[in-house]
Amino acid sequence: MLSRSSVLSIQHKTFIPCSIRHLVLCRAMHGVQRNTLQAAQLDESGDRIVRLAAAAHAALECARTCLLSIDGDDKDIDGDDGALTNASSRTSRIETAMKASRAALEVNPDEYTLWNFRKRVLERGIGDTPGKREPGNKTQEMNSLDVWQDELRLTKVALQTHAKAYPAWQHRLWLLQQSKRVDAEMHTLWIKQERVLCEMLLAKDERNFHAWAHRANVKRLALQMKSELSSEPAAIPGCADEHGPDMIEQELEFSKQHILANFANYSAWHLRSVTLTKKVALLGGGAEHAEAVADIVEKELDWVRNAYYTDPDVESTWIYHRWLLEGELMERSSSVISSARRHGFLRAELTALNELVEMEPNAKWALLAKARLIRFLASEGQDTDSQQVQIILARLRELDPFRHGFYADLLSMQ
Amino acid sequence: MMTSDNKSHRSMDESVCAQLLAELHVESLLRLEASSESYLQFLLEHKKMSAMYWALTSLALLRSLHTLADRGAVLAFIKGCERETTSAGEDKTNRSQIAPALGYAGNVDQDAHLLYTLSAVQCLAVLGEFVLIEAQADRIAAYVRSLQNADGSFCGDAYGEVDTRFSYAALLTLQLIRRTDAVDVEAAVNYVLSCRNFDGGFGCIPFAESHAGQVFCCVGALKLAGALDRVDQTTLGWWLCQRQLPNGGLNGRPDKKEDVCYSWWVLSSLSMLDKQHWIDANALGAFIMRAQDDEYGGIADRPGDRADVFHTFFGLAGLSLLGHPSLEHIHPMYALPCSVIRQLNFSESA
Repeated sequence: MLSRSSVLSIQHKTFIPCSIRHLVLCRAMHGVQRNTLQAAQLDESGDRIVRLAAAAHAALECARTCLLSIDGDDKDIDGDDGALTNASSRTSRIETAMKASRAALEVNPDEYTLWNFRKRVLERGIGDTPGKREPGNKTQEMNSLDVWQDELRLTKVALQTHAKAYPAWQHRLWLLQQSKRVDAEMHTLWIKQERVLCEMLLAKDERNFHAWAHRANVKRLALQMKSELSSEPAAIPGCADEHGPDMIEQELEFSKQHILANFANYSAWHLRSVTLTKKVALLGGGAEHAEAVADIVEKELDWVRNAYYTDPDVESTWIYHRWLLEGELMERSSSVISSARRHGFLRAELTALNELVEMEPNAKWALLAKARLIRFLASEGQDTDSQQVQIILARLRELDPFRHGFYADLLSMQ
Repeated sequence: MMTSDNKSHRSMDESVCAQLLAELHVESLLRLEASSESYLQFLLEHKKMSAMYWALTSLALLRSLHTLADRGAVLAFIKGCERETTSAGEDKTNRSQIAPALGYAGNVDQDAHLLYTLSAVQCLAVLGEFVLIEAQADRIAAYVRSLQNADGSFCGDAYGEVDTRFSYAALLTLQLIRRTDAVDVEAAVNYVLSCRNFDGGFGCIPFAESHAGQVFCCVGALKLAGALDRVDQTTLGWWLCQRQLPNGGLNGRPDKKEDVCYSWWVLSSLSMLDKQHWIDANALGAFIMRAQDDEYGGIADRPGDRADVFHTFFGLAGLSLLGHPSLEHIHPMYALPCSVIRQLNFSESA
């Protein structure tokens, strides 16, 4: 294998970031302003980077040697030393490499190969149940719950400073999944507690899509856990309640809190649309739920109206508004709710949009929503002024010139 | 800004085009090659293969690939990132493997990963090393196949992370090596469609929020599979064109800040949908131009910030899609210069 130093004449020892611009040129940095970094800071961070790069390199080399040793052991290929010496040197190699990779990952959790290395070491420990262990074999420590707890903590440390590091999120999800093979109770507890980490990171950045996706992944794991537990209801008493309809209400409340804090948080609106779809699906298609479904739609419309009256220029609100009027919820409700009631609240919505547009004649989102609603009501045979659609689109074409071509195409589709 | 002529939205004005600092950008990219320290940038080290792809393709778009000083070193680097992946614990499927699998790592001391396998194949394609690609094609196909799951999704590597980015990486890699039949394409399409949201966009997994980067990957994957007609293109186009902000730049999600990288992800998606005229070319072009570093070259995420190779590539790629006359045309689905696509004898309209 080629070493790093043989590629493009890279020499670690001679790596001195002599020019500030080289240092910053290649780093994919988002939002670092040219004038905010002083030369002194750059020098300092330059030295730091030299040290960190060297540490990462050493950790990778250490991990590689360690894996060769482990693989050698698995294949029963002994080296020059005796078997016992091999076992003990292997253990110390593992310990050294785990330590080095931890230090490197704490500062750069994007080093995915180091996470892979740790997975392989942890995986070795999984089958290593107490009964099978040889006395005096130090690797048994790798099997203890403490090691897994510690590993989970490491991902937390990494994510607290690098909340967008894909490999750290992946490693954490892997730990959550694999913990089932280590200890069922720990697995259950971890999955139940995972929302704490997500909430902590969303408090720092409410739009962190890694954290939102992780939440979705954990919910999937929770549902898997629930379905597995339901065949053995006595295993973890009370756990299943966490993931029934209660979970839906929890999610609705969670999205509500985030939306109330900031209407422009589309991530929260999105969660709300996904959750309400599930809620209505759980209710089933029976006519007995018609009122319940209609109430949900009306309540949401009422709420979203408050949001767009407060600020008619927030895109997030309007995408959710479009979902409410045209998405899965309305699709499902159209087969359940009587058309009289449905048309009733759609007409009320049109009135609300008209009032907004009168006050804010340049509110482009409201205008587009109005045009779509008129077109929809017309398609349902309702008496509306469908001429208005063309007039509104023509107005939007002038009002929103960047999207001139979009409105022009919509007009030609009418 | 306001015009009545639709066509003016499809291309940039001469005054905007004239702002491209092409020579400075070439210099900044060549400095990456020449200076021993620049590739060592700590945060990019693990994905040097992708950085290589951004740099090489940027040079190709600037019609300056011939100025590369040491092509042999680049090929040696790619060779050094080859990984046999059939060892125990790495082959996670029970499928019979005709050829031993070969993936590429992000750097010479890293593990194989699908993203870097695509980057490696793209690098080889940009360099015109088609014989090399064909020589490894069966083994690369075996690697990509080993990463497909029963539901059609793909893992990034042997450790199980699933994301729609990998669906695109898998299908594009196979297309470039001419081994598309190595995987279940229909299942791959169905998985991508399961990640589609009401707003027309796509997320990284089912039920995840739409994100322009994922939209690019999903639109690209569907286009590669000839399945783009299975989505509501008008709704998707609506969501995409709303990414343009008053400053001309594009954001990646509703109510987020603009970033030059979305010039590629949003614009290439619109281009694949034949709706590039749904945003304002001049305003976007001018925004990218403002994000250039007029002292040392390169393009930043937004005006006033530090330039880097990632945003340099996505900025140039965006300007290329906008039809900048000094730049080689880039293909929105392959993310490679159209000249390379012609050399590969692929249809550019595919």
